[in-house]
This record gives sequence, structure tokens and C-alpha cells, in this order.
Amino acid sequence: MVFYSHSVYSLIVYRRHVYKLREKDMEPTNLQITPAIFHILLALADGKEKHGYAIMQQIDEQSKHEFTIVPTTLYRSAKRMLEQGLIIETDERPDPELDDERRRYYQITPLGRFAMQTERNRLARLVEIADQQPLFGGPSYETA
Amino acid sequence: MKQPKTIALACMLYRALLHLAPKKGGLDECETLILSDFRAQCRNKYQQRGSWGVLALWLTTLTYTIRDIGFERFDVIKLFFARLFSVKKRNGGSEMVITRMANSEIGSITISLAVLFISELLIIHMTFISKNILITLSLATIILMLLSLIATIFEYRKEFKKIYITKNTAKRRKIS
Repeated sequence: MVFYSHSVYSLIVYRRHVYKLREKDMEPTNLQITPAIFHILLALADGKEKHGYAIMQQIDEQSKHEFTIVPTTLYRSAKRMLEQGLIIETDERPDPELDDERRRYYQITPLGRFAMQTERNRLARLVEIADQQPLFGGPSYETA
Repeated sequence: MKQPKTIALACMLYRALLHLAPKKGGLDECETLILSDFRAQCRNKYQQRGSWGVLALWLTTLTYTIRDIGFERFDVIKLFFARLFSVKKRNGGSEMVITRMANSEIGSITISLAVLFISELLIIHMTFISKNILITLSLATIILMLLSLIATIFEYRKEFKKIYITKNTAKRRKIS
């Protein structure tokens, strides 16, 4: 029942991180980076176009089966990312390695790379803060 | 290509589950893609672990799919209320009436007084402070709130009139 309790935990903890980005030559926009969106951006980080199933397989491989993304979450997130300009839809064609069904291909945009970097920096800062706590090997509260 | 019965059953149940999603949402447009990806996942799991693999995949997928359908339904309700209470901006686009109110002085005073009134009601029930004092304060807050609400309505009378006229026009067009 371990995998089921993990999925219930993921159901309850559904966080969004909203950024207001102001970059040169880019219009300010509110970006919502959920864990699913971040994983999709990581899967597309190599710059190659991939279809939905390939993205799901890449996420499974990268996270070593720890993070699960189902088709509904993927396409909901993809729709939001297309609206926000984080990815673009490049083509719709069958994948010869898979089957004859037509699939949509997606590719990351410069804004998507920027959002991924921003989220990565935020997570790195959180890890730095956590590492300063006694529980994770930081100085104890008495000596600090 | 003939597929195993386990995969066919899993796909059939998944297709039935997707019918719970709202008709004009994002999931409805991508139904074919979602089903084809799920079928590919089932085939992959069947090759690795047989029918038990497909069952484990189905249980995980069921949880997250129900969550996503719930969020889609919630988004549709949010959009409905946003359209109902939205006004047009001068430079194009639209915003919620309450956002417009919060941006004006009188409107923000009205909202603050409403919040104060609600918190006073909670304090009456939760603390041992003299009820007479709190009731007097609450009455004063209500009077101030009503006055500021009248001022807000007067300030935004044109916007409320536009909403009323637009909705009535839309109704008449539908009837005709």
C-alpha cells in the first residue's frame, strides 16, 4: 500500500508557485509552476521535440520511478504551459517506434527555460535554508 | 493488432471515467491523446509485469485522474462566476468587480469593514469580552458599512447598469 499512500499525500499537497517575471524583451506575466510542470520542463530541457508518452517515460526515468505523471495531468499541464508560452506545439504525427496513432509533439521555449531556471534556483535556496537546521546537520540552536 | 483483455478492459474503464470531465474543458479536447498514451502505458506495464502491472497502473491513474477531473470542474465554476461578475477595463480586457472595488478607496473601505464585522462576530462567540460593548461596536460597523456600500454603488452605478443591460440584452437575443 506504499504507492497508494504516496499518491494520497500527493493529492493533498498540491502546491503552485507563482512568479511575476520581468525580463528584458519579455512581457511581465504570472507563471504558475506546479511540480508536474517543472518535471515536464525538465523532460524537454534537451531542446528536442517530444510527444506526450515520451515525456511521461522521460519523467519516469529521470525521477527513478518516484514521481508519477498520468496522461490527464500531463495534458492539463501542457495546455497551461502552451497558454503561458513555456512550450510550443511543433507537429502532430505518428511515432514510428510506438504505433500508428497520431501524437502531438512539444518543444520548450526560451521563456520555459527561464522559468525552469527560476524554479531550480528557488528550490536550491530552500535546500540551503534546510541544511542550516540542526535536523539536517546545521548548527544547533544553542550554539547559533 | 489484438490486445490482451486486461488492457482492453482498463482502456474501456478509463474512457468511461473521462466522460466525467466537463465538455468544454481541456481534457475533452485531448481525449484521444490521453487514451492512446494510457494504452501505450498499459502495454508497457503488461510486458513488464503482466496483468498485475496493469492493475497497479490503473489504481494510480484512477486517483490522479479523479483529482484532475475535480480541478477541471472547479475551473469551469470559477470561470462562470468570473464572467458573471466581470466588468470591462478601459484599456481592454475585463476584471472582477471586487478587484475594481478593492482598487478604489471607498471600495476598499467597504471590504475592510465587512471583514471587520465578520471578525467581530467571531470574537463575540469565542471570547469572554463584554457582549454589550461588542454588540455596540458591531452595530456601528454595520452602519458604517452600509454607508460605504451605498457610496460604492453610487460610484460604480454605471458599471452595474452596464452589467444589467448586457445580461438582459443577451437574454432577449436568445429568446428572439
